[in-house]
Amino acid sequence: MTTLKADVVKHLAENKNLLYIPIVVLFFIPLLQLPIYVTHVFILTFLFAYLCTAWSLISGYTGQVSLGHSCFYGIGAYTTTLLFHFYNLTPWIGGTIGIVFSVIFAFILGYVCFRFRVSGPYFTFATLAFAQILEMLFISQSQITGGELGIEMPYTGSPLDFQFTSKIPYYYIILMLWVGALFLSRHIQRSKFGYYLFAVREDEGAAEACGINTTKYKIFALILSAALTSFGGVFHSQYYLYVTPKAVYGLDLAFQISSTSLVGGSGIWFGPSLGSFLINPVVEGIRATIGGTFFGVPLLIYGILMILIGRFLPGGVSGIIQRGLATRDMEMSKKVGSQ
Amino acid sequence: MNVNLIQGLINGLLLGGIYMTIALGINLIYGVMRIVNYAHGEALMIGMYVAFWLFTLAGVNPYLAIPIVAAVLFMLGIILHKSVIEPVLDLPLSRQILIFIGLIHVFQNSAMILWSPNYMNIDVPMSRESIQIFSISIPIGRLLATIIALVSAFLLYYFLKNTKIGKFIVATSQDPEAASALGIDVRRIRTLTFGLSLALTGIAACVFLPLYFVYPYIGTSFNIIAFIIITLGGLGSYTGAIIGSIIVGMIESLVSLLYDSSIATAVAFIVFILILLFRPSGIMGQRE
Amino acid sequence: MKEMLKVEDITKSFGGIRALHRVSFHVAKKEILGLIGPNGSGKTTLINVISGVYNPDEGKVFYNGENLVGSPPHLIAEKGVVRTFQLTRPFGNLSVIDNVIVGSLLKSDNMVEARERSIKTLKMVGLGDYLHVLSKDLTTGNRKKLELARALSMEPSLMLLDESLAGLTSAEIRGNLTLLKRIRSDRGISMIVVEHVVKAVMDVSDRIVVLDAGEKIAEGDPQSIANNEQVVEVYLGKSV
Repeated sequence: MTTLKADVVKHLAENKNLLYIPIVVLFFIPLLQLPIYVTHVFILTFLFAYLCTAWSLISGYTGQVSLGHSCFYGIGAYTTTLLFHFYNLTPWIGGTIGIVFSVIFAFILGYVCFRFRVSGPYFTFATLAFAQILEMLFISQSQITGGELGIEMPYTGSPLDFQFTSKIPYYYIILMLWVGALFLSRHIQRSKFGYYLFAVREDEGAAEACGINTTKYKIFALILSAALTSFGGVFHSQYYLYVTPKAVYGLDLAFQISSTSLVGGSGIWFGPSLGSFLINPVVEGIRATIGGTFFGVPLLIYGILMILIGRFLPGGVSGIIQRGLATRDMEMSKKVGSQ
Repeated sequence: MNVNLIQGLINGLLLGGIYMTIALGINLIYGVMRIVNYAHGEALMIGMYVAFWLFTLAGVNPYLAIPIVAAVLFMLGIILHKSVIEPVLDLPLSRQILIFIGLIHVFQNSAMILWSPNYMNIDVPMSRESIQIFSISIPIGRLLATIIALVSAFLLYYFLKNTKIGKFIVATSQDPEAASALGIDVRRIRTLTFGLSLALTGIAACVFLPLYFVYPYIGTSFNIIAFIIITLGGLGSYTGAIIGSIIVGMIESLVSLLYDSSIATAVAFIVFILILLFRPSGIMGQRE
Repeated sequence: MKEMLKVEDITKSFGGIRALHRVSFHVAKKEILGLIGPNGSGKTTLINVISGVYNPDEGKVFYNGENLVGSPPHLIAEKGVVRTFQLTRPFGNLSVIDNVIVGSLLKSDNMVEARERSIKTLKMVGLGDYLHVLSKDLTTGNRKKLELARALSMEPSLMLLDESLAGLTSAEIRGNLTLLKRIRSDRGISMIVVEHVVKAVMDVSDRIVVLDAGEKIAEGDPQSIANNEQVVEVYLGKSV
């Protein structure tokens, strides 16, 4: 193994240019004037890549698995919608308020769950429970929220109200959100913050012994993740112009975010996005061809796939890529791998 | 008002008795393997379908079907454990979660494909009737469910305390390394425990069937309640599961009585929040 | 202040079981203190109390005059009291160098500096060729070295080494002991060395404290401890 070869492999693997090219390509896609449905699939894929990246900050990096992350999504979506619906408050501000609510909620949740060491499963229960509570709450308060049938966003089509008449602006917004989250995630992974999160995930006691205030870092990761996720909810309300409790708080969404991230690999910055790009187009494609929902046979197969990946693929699909790189050159740091 | 209160308390006890079996099952698994079976509700769902078809196709009374369903679920538990649970016990939680989500999807959608998403129920005439004690009305179905649940809980307790295997299970849950050093085949114990836990769920399934509709997604609601109970009572604790079940049952029942049932679950959730706030390890759980 | 660490009347019980009873001793600057005693005598519990994992029922732990009791483990580590674990606890899915970087980040301001210091420390303990190996794939001996490296990277003034020699070959033990002495002389770090391998402890310690059943039964230089009848009896009398 010559040093030159090692250098080349390392350069290829760490070179940002490899990543920039596909992203730049994605920016030019709308010029192709694709059918509306295809644009929609792209938007959905970006949205999930964004949400999964956000989820992984707390659940992948920090190891505190949230199975009800839709809480924050829904808070963002409903706050925006209700404030616009009842008070004509522009979603740009309404959405910001939604994020603030999510942050406060995340802080309380994190503080309550994390301040004692026995936090793992309780945190997961808590997130599950809260997603359900919020869903039930918003169904029951139907005078305000429209109940199960949900509530519509009054249509203005004006950018001042965070609404657009074509899908293209939405495409760019969510694309930029995703790319931003992606690079943020990458930056975190290589920073002190990221290293500390991984330490907390691996062994909290040892992390404490290394001078890490584990509670503080867990809460911070949760808040960051919640803020990002809730902005995804804001996007939802502006894109669909319609929110229902099931769509934004439901466990289906929460599970989808979690499983997509894990299939891609939640321990590395590009893993969750990879998961989204692999799964969402397929899911939407199946929905389009079979018609109707993804439930039934497709979801059954997906479930089996999940079990197989969980059982046999360390670190999800991105784990394969990582190991592929590592075996070619022992000099490559097996960066925070199997997750 | 007094009579209503007592009725509420009785209902609560009955409800708690029903929840008990599920919570015990999850705690049993956690105690031995330090893993939460997030798909436990789905096992219940499958048990209910098995009991349903035994009744519908073969006319077997669900209460009599208990041994059959328990055996079926026991075997299902063994198979599941050996194939997908045991291999991932050492892995971080996120990896395990993927398997549980996968299992949930597999079970729910298999049920949906095989048996349609429709709500189905059976009619066991006896269970629809009630006994009247003074002015308190006790539905027989619920009473039977609670009695059987309590008997199962007691049998489980007896089993854990007094049989060789039971004691091995307890030893393993307290200290797997020490147990292994003592010559206990820890792996087999874990497999057995998983099977046993699912068998318990099978019992619950049989007594639930006359009381509830069965449909592919019924597992989820039971899951959530079970998690609340476990948080309340303490993860891994036997007594905690029992106390927690009764408290949650009481709360649901009393709130239903005093207000209405839609906020009953909400109140249970609020209790859950309060517990997390003040004693996250639950009533019987250990700190740190 | 000559005493860096002053442990005063530490008492700790678990349930009804008394783990430590009125244990007192001190550690001077640049001193290596050996802590020995049969299994179950409370050595690790004592380390856990000093490092903040447990709060004692009674007693105080003075570090440079400040009472550490009540402080959380991460703060105590930050102040300069760093411990290793008896059963090594590496960050399993992180590489060797990443493990030590986590430690270095306590006192380093940036990643580059942390990385450089980590590489230096790893070379010093002899893990220079293992930088990118996944830490969970290490042998026991190397894991112990990693524990040590990670602790060192935190720039401690006092290290609490809990059985850092257990499970090592005699060659590895000799190597580690030399290393410890070097660390003390090069970096001026004080140490409490908890050990089972009595001979090794005798070799490296300036003074020794002996625990039995939660109580201090002897204290002194290695020679006098070796000749102490009670100590000998305590070790021979136990079945281990």
